[in-house]
Parts: sequence; structure tokens; C-alpha cells
Amino acid sequence: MVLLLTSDNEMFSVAEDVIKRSAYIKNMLEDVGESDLPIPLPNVESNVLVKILEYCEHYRGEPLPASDVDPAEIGDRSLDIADWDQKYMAVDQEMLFEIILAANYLDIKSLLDVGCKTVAKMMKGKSSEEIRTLFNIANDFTPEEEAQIRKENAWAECR
Amino acid sequence: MRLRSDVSHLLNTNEVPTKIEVATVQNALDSLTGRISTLRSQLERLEEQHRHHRAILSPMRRIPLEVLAEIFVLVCRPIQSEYDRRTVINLGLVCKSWRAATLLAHRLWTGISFTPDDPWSIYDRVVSWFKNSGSLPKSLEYDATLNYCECSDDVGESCISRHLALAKLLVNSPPLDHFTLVVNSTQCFREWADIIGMSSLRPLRSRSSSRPWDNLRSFNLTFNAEYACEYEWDNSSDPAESIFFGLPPSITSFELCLPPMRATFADEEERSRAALNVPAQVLERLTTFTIRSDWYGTKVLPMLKHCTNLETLTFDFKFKSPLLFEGSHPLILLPRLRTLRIRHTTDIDLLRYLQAPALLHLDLVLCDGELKFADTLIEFLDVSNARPALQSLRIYNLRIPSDASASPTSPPFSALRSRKSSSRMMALSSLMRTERRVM
Repeated sequence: MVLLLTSDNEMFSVAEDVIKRSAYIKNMLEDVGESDLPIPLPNVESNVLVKILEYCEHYRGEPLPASDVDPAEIGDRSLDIADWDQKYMAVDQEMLFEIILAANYLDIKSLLDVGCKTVAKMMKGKSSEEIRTLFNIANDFTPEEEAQIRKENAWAECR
Repeated sequence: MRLRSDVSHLLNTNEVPTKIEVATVQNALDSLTGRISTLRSQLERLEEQHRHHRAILSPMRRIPLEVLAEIFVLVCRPIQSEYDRRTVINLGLVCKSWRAATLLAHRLWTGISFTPDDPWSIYDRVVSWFKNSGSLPKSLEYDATLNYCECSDDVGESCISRHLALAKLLVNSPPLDHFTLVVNSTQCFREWADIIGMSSLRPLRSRSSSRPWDNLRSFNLTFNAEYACEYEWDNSSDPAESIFFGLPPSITSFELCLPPMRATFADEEERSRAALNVPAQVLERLTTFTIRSDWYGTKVLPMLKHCTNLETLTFDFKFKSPLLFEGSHPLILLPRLRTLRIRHTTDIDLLRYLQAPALLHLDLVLCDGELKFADTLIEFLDVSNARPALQSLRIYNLRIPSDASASPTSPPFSALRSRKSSSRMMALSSLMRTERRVM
């Protein structure tokens, strides 16, 4: 078992084969070897780690996704998400981004991919204003800066 | 709020007000409307402040730019049409950090597509767009099939595949890795090759030519299906006159999408004469070859015998059966083939004619397929002696009986075992045990 200590000081005891989906933990275990000391995860809160472990547990024992599949060859499936992953990602926006941040930090590539695809699907087809509203992003461009970018790229928008 | 003149006695009654009372109530209403408006403005200001403060806590702010860049790449297609280009610009207009992320995502700027409707000045725009892609390989797509082209009808009619910006991009700069050309007809392709003055067999002006066309690594030639019956297929019996002599000279990756055979050729006699005379010199260099076509397999097979350096081969039969009549064919050895993909096929009979001893990956996308082809598959792997080294066998759209589980070693296969040679199915089952995914 591997001990993990979250940023809010909660300790988790996790089976090694479950958490080894994280390349970060896997490398750390290989570097440090057997140890009773918990691995600190200062960037991950306990509620997020619970969610991450749910993912790792679900894919326990399964090989990492093959990277040599050419999506174009089986149709335009670049944003396809497996059914279970879709349900797993049906969380509020804050948790969705926390999962992405944790997956990035823990280096769980397949989870990061699913998170990125989920956000990409939310963004697809939306205007910049709609995206700002969706993700609560402030427009920090001055009107002049915005006009300049539009001017530079006007050709890309219309003939 | 208290009314200036008391009309409270009227509030919960249905009495008709006097003229003075009407005026009093009207004043009160005006006053209330003014206050509501003031409060509404205050509320909107507070909500605005609330939004701004919430935005500070948005976890989106903490997403690293490189992750944001990955998300952007997923939102946009690799070769961008006008719509995709607008998407890239829109992403950069969300906020300053997103603008930075779009510029960091070099892959967003590596591919561009345009059409005959774009003006010649698009050349400068394309060059400017590509500058954001850094040193990544660049891709260009030109789709000349938005309209019917009259070049095949009347000699001298301007062909819509002739585009000054396109010619300049392929002759001058910038360096390109991949080019997709979508044309209506073989005549359009000839027009295109003529105007640029390109031929795979024509001696290059110099071996160190820096023309993007001469240094293309990958080329996709797609013939439009929509007008296939309108144009005559250039079926020159003399291979030296073949349209494929206009292919780029340095390609190692070639994708060929042919028009539907039945629409292109009026009768069986024409179909039997149809030929794909791709020069052997081009085929010998290929490491990746993709053919999307419902043409008879007999038209495709002769090309493969020259593909001695092929590492990845993809057939897409467009949901038609790749008919292989017209006699038997010699076994074709593909000594370096690592990956073989057969897409949208009703059968895999083509495998009877191939031998791929170095095969590592085999992907089959069936049309609602059953395992009726198991014998062919196993025979191919045995003839190739590829079973020991095979790393993955993926079968997509395999219909599994509803009363069976998806386990490769149980019901669907044992059910089939009862209909097929048991030894063959045992062999397939053992293959399946090493397979990574059956979809």
C-alpha cells in the first residue's frame, strides 16, 4: 500500500497497482523504493484525490490506452469520450478543472486527455464572449487591443 | 414607501378612485418606478462585482498554459478551414492569457485549407499564419471541388484547380510537409500538374531543389465523388501518360481517394480497363500508403508489388466488397509492413494475397461484421509467420451475439467454434488473448 497525504492533511492508503497509473507516483516509488512515509501531494485536496482514485480504481489492471491508434482512420473521433468517462466527468465546473489540474500534476495522461476533451467539447462552437461567460473569465483586453487582434486576423474570418 | 397623499384606504378595495386620488397614485407610481430603476442598477453593479470576484477564484485561471494549449488543439481541426481559423482567433480573444496559449500552441497554426473562392492575396496570409507554427511540419489543403469545373468540357476553359496563391505556395515557400489536393477530375489534376510544371519522373532542375512541392513528404490526392459521373476518367493505356506521373517526387506517404467506380465508369468493359498506373519509382519510396476506394481489388493489388518499403498500409473500401475476381494473383510480399489497417469492409479476402512477416499491428473496421472471416485472418497471419511478433489486433464493429459476453475467449468465439473449424477458432481465440482491444 502507498500512503498519500493531501494538501488538507488527509491521509489515504492506496493499493500500489491502483495509484501507479500516475506516472508521477510511479516514478517516485521507483526512485525512493519501499517507504512508510506518506507521499505529500500539496497540490491536491482530499475531495479531488477521492475522485482521482475513483478513476484509477476503475481502470485498475487495464493496460494504458494504446497511443498508436489513428482516430482519423475510424472516423473523426478526436473528441469521443467513453461512456464511463463521460459519466465520471459529469461534475461541476470547479471539480472538472480540479481534476484536470490534479491529473496534470500527478501525470495521469489518460485522465488529463479525458478532462481536456470534456472542456474542449464545452468550448466548441462558442464565441469568445460565450466562452468568457461559460468559464467566468474576465476580458482583460482594452478595446484597442481587441480591435487590433481582430484587424490582424480579419482575413481569417471573411473573404 | 409611504404615499404622499394617503390613498391606503383604496389599496385593498375595488373602489373607483377620484381624479385627485388618480393623480396621487400616478405620482406614487412614478416615484416607485424611479426607485426600482435605481435599485436595479445597484443590483446589476453588485452582480457585476460578484462575477468579477468569483472569476478570481475560477480554477480555470490555474490551468497551465500548456494544458490550455492542448485543449485548444482538440477544439480545432489540424488543417483549418475558414471556420476553424475563426475558432482559433476567437479563442485568442477570450483574454490575454488565452491569447498567449493560442500562440504557444504551435500545432494550431500548422495546417490551412483554402478554396478557389479565396483571393490570390491569401498567399501572404498563409505565410503569416504558418509563422506561428514555429518549426513544426506544415500542411496545406486545397479543395477545388466546391463547383463544377468546366475544364474537362472545353479545352481552354480555365480550370478551378489553377490558383496563383497555391502555385506560389508550392513553388516558392514556405517549406511544406503535407499537401492535400481535392479535385473534380483527372483532367483537373493534369491541369494542376501542368501549371506548376511538376512530374515525378521529370528530372528535377536540381536535386537540391528547394521548391516545397519537390520536398513534400506526404501527399493526399482526392477525387471528388459528387461529380464522378460527369467526368471521364483519364485511363491512358500508356503508363508514361498516366496522370500519376504528376505526383510529387519525394513523397514517402501517399493517400489516394478514388471516385466511386460505378459512377466513374459506365459499364463493366470500362471498369475492367480502368487502371491505376502509379509509377513504380513513387511506390518504391512509400513508407505509408492509404487507398480509399471501392474499386476492384484487382486494380489495387498490382501497385503493392512495388511497395517494398511500405511500413503502414491502409485500405478503406468505403463499405463495398473489395471484389477480387479476374483470376488468381501471386502472393505479394510486403517485407517491412508493420501496420495494416482495413477499413469499412464487408470481407477481408484481400489478405489472401498479402504476406507481411514484420507485421506488428493489424486493425480491421468491419461493416457490421461477424467472425466469418476468421479462417482468412488466421491463414494470413500464418502465411506471414506474423503471429509470434503481432502486438495488437483490433477489430472494430464486430457484431457479438447479444447472449454472449465480450470476452474473446468465451461465448462469441465458442459459439463460432461450433460453426467453424474448431482448430481455427481455437487459434483465433489464442490470438485474441494477446490482443489489446476488441471494439
